[in-house]
Amino acid sequence: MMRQLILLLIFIIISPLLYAIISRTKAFLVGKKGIPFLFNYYTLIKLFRKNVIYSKTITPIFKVAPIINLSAILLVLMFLPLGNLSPLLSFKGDVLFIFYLLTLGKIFMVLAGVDTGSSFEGMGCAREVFFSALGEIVLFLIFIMFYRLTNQLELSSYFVEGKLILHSKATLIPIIFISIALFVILLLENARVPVDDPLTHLELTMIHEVMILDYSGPDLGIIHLTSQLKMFFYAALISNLLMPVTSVMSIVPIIPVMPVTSGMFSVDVILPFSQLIVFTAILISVYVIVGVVESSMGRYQLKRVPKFVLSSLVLVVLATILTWRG
Amino acid sequence: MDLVFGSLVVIFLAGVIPIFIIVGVGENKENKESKESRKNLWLKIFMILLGVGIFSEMLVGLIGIFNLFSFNLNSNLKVTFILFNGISMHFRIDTLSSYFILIISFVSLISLIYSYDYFFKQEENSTSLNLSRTLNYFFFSVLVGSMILVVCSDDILSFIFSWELMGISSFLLIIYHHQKEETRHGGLYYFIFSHIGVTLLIFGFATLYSYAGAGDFSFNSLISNCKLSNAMKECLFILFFVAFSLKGGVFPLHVWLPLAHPVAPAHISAILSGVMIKMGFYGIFRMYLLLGPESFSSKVGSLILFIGIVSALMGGLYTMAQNNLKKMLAYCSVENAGIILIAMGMGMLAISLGNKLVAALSFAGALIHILNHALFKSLLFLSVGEIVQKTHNDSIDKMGGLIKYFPYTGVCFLIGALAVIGVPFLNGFIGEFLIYNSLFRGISFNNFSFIISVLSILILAFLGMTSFMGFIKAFSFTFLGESRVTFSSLSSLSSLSSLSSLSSLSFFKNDRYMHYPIMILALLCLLIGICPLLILKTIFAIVDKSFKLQSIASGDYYTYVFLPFRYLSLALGIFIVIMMIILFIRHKLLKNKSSNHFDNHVDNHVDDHNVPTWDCGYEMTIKEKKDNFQACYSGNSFSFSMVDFLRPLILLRENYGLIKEFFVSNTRYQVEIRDLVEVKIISKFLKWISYLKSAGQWIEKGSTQMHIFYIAISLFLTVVGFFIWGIHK
Repeated sequence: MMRQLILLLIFIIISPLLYAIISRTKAFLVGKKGIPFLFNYYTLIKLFRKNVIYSKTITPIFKVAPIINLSAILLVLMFLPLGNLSPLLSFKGDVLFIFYLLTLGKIFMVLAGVDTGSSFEGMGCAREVFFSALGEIVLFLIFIMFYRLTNQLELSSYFVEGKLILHSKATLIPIIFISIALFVILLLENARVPVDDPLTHLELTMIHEVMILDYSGPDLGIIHLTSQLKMFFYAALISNLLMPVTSVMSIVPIIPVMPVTSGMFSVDVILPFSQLIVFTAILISVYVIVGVVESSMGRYQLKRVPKFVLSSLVLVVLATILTWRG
Repeated sequence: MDLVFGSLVVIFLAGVIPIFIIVGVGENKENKESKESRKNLWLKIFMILLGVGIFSEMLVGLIGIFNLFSFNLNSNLKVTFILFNGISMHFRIDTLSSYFILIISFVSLISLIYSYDYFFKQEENSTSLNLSRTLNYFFFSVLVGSMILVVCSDDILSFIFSWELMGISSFLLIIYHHQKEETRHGGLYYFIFSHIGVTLLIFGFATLYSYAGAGDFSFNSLISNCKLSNAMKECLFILFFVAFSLKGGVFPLHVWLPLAHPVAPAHISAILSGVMIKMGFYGIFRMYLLLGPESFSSKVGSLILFIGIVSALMGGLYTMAQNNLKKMLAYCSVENAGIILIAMGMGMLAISLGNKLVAALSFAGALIHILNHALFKSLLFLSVGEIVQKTHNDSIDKMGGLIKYFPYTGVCFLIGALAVIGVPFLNGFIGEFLIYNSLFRGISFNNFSFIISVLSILILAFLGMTSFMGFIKAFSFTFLGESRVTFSSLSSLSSLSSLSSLSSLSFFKNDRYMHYPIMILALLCLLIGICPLLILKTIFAIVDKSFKLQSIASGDYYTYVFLPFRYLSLALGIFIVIMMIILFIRHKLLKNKSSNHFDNHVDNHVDDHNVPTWDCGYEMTIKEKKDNFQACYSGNSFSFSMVDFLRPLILLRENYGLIKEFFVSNTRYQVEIRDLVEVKIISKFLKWISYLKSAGQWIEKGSTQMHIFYIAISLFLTVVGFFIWGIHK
């Protein structure tokens, strides 16, 4: 348990660093030098040292919202397996809990956005809710497919104990399809380019950025940290899925679909150093791909975003059909 | 059983005696002041009496479900009243009915307390106790009593009697503001729908009785004598299902809900939506248990599951689209009816396929969702009732910033809204967790159940987000932001506009009896969400007992239900610890900075709370904003992107200013959400009816002798018909 905690803390601490990879990639592709890798830390420190300014319209909900959002994402990260290492917490059916918890954070951010009484923030909130409603469908379809393969409903059973089953029943192509679908969800939930441009300067077209226009100081810092952690969460989901399984099975003695997590706190499973490297490499490549996607295409019209999200639904349906065994 | 009937008598008396008092006292007009105060005293006494009656019913429910005092429910809780000539009325209580009694009496008690301030603190003739209010309390007591009789009744006669009593008393409660046109309209709709339901019910019971042949009307003898084939039983069950879903607000039959709920007084709509709708589900459960769960094929379960999916989806979409607060809550009832039906259908499917664990999970999910819905829906209705009463307005677009006037109501409404959405740590999540669990398990039954459970999982997930949209819209555009209109009725409260003075207790004490019930409900929502095991163990015991599922190993419940929920509470603990740590760090950070800040910029007068919202360089003063709506984002526009995406399912009537001549003169856009069923089906049906009426107009001439002639002819035809039939036999 100690091992997981330390590893999780390390990843939480380096998540701003990982986030910087995206902008470095973008800078590299257009031939610029780019920001330093520690740039996000500077920003955070700068923001944490500032004072806050509040609009006179707001209610205490506005102040509480970033805190609830950050605590929700931190709690969610505790349920996340990190490369074949079972997560800190886990219980039967925790997938539902995790994604409803993420919704809780989102609800409070939306409330805070509308709380300011600004029309632009209202617009951003409406878009955020609408698009993530579509994303929710895709996510649940993915978990339906995972459930069909492993008969379990928790993240650790997909990526740790049931990993072998998942990878043996679903061959390479379905796994790739699902990772692409998850990648679309990642772009959607983290407001990256084809869905939303984090660098845009026009409030009318923003989605996520416009919701937080009125935040300042440490609150804004908390929001930045939250979005970096959220990015890490989705990227880690993808890399968990893509993480090769063979190297693990020889080392870790795992009985297929064994209810290892009968307790909330899971048993310690040894994570060799080499696997950690593989996991981190996949993680970094996910960030790099985000950067490549951002620099290779513009953002979609707002009307086209639902189509983009729902096209990933098709991929998941295809993957489900491909893994169909009677 | 004595307690049940004793307290029923108390409830009835407490309702009926004030009428006599009012009729007796109301005649002489002199000495008005002392009369008023004496009337008020009487009113309080009888309200307390009513409350005591309902409270003792609640005790019955508690005793029943928690098996207190080692009460054995299956043995001695039966009562038979022999009326005359061998016709008797049977009543009995089992765990299922005591669960419903608990819900009924709790919500009624809460609404009774609420109604004290709601009725008597209104501006017009503030504290007077007039005849219509007294009658309202009388029908209230009849409604509560009849609902309790419905869940206790054990034969056809008493069931139909109390069902009809329930329908009529609730109709009379809905048309309390009968001076208004729309109230009469909504009430009439409800009356017609509820009577179609009763007709179907009588038809079904008559069929059942005709097949049972001899014996009395009691359910047990009916079933033991019944010689129906399984297919026939299924058909009969579907008939009952339609009859009960008319009451339960299931999708194609929901039309009365959004019409009747907004016009009823708030505490009445809380009871209607929170409890009376549940009587429909009680009926479905009861008929399902009666007609024999084992004899049904999987078709019945799948049909109900499918209807549940449709109802949930359509209810959810209209919830999201609506801009009228009370109508939105009514549609939300449709959605939740759908969710309950999904759970029930999954349970029936699982029983017919022989998977008892899934059946137990889904029936428990249905039962706890019924309780949860009763809690959060009455919470929402009561808090919306307060807002509507004080602002004289029920459109989301015409509110805003109300949390500054109603802090307690606002927070409670937020809790209710979060519970509807189903976020963790609130009660809505518990039911959805169980239902999701059973649906996921349903995936691996067979190919058909795969499709239907995948569909319902996706619909449930999507519904979480649509109700997110709908309820966050309702909360934030009602309570947060700037107010979009000036409330003349709130001008008296405007001195309280700053948040600091709001927490003063004097404001709170004004409407004590309005706020306490809302807060109790909100606390219960939180309590069930935080420690679900308090109620879940009991619910699983009820399910085991009622559906005869005792064969499930208790270990299964432990691993799939109890353990996760225990960890859920633990996770909440961790969540709160994390939150506290972040709060602490943030506090530390701000503490250092703000002192610095004020040292450096004292002359700048930058006050933390005195900066307008960033509006992209286009800043309007608040006053300007109130005068024109242009830059205000409204609830309508908030949900419009989603409504537009789902347009074929949601009927819109749009009304916008077109370009006349060369310039756009006055930009405006109006949109009205119209009910699909009401517009497409009911109105067509009504057109047919009126066509039939005009086609048959020539019969009705209005002269008495013609009518006597008709009567004579029809009697003659009947006699001849019987004669011929007799010969033929």
